[in-house]
Amino acid sequence: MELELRRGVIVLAVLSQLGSFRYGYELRQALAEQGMAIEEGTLYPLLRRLENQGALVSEWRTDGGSPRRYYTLSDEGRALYARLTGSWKELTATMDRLLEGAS
Amino acid sequence: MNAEQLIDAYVADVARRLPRRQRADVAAELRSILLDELGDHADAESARRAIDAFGRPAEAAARYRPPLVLLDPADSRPFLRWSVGGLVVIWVLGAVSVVQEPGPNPVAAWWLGIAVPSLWWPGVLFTGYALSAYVRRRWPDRARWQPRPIDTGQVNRWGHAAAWVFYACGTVALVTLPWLHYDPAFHARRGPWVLALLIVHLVLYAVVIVNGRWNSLTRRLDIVMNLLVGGVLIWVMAAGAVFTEGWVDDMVKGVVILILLVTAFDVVQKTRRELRQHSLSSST
Repeated sequence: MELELRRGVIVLAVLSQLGSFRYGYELRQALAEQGMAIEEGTLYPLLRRLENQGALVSEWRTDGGSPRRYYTLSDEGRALYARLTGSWKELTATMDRLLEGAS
Repeated sequence: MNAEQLIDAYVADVARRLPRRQRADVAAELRSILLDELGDHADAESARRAIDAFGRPAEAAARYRPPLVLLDPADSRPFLRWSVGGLVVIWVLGAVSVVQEPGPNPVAAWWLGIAVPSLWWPGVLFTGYALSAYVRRRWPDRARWQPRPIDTGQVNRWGHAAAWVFYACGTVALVTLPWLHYDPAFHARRGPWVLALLIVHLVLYAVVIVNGRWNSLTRRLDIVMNLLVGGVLIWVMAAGAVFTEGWVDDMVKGVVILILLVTAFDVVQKTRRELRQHSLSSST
């Protein structure tokens, strides 16, 4: 149950951290440090799918080390992020009301 | 294998399951990700753990592509039910035919001649369900639920009258055609029962056509008649030849098996409908 609950917010969590360019492992670490650990097998393919859907753009960078693919929000991704954030706030407000009513 | 060799082998295995245009890019990224995950622990055991976290190559590759569902989850149970049910019918009928004509190794004859070839049935079912799932996704408007037409019991008099005439002529033909040579034992004992049932059935349908509709009594009589017909047809086939000529007898028995299957399906449908009607009327 908890897994399903978390699965629903993974996309929003990822979009929230990609205001600037980040590579996959860096993003996973950042999410984990903030309490949103996402399995590697889930996160990296998700970045690809979001890119294919036009929500992210990516480029290869070396930054002095080995080459890595960096991702950030596209214009479409920013619009999606704003829309999902609005939906999330409405949802949490509704859930708060429901949970307060139940307790 | 050292860590890099393990990672390279894994990445190659994932990449070959991806579309050609995606392979090089995903492989390069996956390799860099796995090396990042390893960090400073670049030993084979750590590489093994990192790879295990990604799952089997087929699973990892599948996550890089849009999900493909051939059989809708909602269709899984009906698919299983019809597959198993059909296989049981095929296997049992096949076992009966093997028992009737036993060879040197009946088990092998059943396995190779009936059980293995019977897999066409789940294959055909799967294709049918997959096609219907595709049609539902492709044209969702057509797949919208529609209520079933309400069964008022009314019949199309002209259509049913035409069918009645056809069946009546068929019955007369079965009795009078000179080139039909019935087996004497069938003619003496089983034939009259079949003829009597055909006539009673025709009378029942004549009553329905005159009334213009089915009612509870005629529906129940129809179910009973169908059960009787099924029972008599099984007896007719089990008791011996119907026609004197072997090939005619085999052909007719094949047709009778088909009629039995259709009759069984019809009885189940009509009985379910009657039970539903009965439970509805008793609950109101």
